[in-house]
Amino acid sequence: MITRDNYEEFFLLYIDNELSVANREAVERFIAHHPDLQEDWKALLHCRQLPNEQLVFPDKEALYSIGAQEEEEDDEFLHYSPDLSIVFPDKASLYKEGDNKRIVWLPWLRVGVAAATIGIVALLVVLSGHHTTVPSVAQPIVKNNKNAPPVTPAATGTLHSIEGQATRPADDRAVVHKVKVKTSGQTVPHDLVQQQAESHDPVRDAALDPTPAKTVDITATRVAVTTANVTTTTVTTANVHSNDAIAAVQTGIPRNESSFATEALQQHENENHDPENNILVADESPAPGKGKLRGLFRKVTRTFGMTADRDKDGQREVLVGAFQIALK
Amino acid sequence: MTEKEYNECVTLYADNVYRFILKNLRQEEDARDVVQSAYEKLWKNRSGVEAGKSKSYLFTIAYHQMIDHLRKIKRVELRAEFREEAKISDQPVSQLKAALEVALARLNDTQRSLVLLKDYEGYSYAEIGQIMELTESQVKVYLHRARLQLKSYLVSLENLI
Repeated sequence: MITRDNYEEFFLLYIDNELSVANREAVERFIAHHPDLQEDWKALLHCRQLPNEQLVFPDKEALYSIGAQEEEEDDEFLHYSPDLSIVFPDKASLYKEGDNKRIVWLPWLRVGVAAATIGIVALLVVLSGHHTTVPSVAQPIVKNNKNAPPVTPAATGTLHSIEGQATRPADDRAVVHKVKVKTSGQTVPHDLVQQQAESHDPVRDAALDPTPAKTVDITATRVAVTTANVTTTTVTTANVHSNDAIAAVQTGIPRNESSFATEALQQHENENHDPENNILVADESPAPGKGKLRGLFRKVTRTFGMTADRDKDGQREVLVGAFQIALK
Repeated sequence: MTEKEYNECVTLYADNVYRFILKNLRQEEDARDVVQSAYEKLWKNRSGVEAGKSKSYLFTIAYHQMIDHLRKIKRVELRAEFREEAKISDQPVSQLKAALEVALARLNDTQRSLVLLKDYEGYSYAEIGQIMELTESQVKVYLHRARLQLKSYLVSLENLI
């Protein structure tokens, strides 16, 4: 509804052509009924801007040719090829040699450190593994025979050195073996120990060898077996020969708690025992190969030790320092 | 938009855009440059422009380029020139026309563009809002304010004469 209060807005909407046909007619009727407002109405009509039709864009051809020019430029771009004769004159100055050296150096340093670490770990594993396979054998020591050729035991003092002695011809040389075994204090099934002794005891093999010419030349052997309860067993043999072996065995541990080495020596003694010629020879002189390296090996093997026995549940265990780790 | 549609756009709307820009800038060379660059932009973007909306798109480009051009040159002295020109006229019709030109020149850029887009091209409030990036209500308010300002100037001029 047009009133004298809102007529101006209706006039403006009429000039802007934003009114419906009905409202346009309403505005025209309102102006006819209010002649005093016709001045304002004419003033607003004069404010409309009428375009000057004579004013035209002077250069339409330039606008038409925009498309053609763009297409020609596109064609030139598509057919343009680089001039390969133009090269950069000082490429050598762009290469970075110093950076390459530094990049190579750092990885090699890291590789070296990694290789050294792997080597140390591998050495420790090998040593601990060797100790595990023959845990109860120490360095054999040659004693009391200056004429005999020196016996060279293995670095770890395995029973293979004893086997080497057993294959030599019999003589009156005295040999003392010291064997120390550390176990976890668990009772080992006898059959397992027996099996291990059968598979790894060359002394017993040599003693059981029916060949007459083969003799065992173990003059004196001392085996010390230490359990968690500090049980020590000393086995002494003297002038043991294949046919008339003389040995004295002193043991303080039950058979079912002894290690396979003790079992082997006991069995060997039972077969070749001669109480009349008990000779206990203890040689404290250092064996060949004993040195700084041997001490290091002992420390390593004590730190990483695997028991040769099994506990009551039949599980194997590994000693790492003061910790026991069960093996499955 | 195809090349044919682009050429039709030149034929139909080049003069309209030119008038619109010339009325705002008052400089033929500047207006021609703005129109030229607006059509170049339309040609580059022709693949994304529908033929039915080419006029609106063209006016939008031209308007924004004109605003950029005005910000660069800031030709504020034109108002004084047209004011003197209006006083010189002695014919009644030409006096009214000249007064209207002066009144239009006294508007700010937004008001002038609103009046020209409405009166020259007949765009609706919504279409003007799209071209000038204004809301429909803003277009209505600004345009009415411009009309009243023009009327006020013409009425005062008539009183002086």
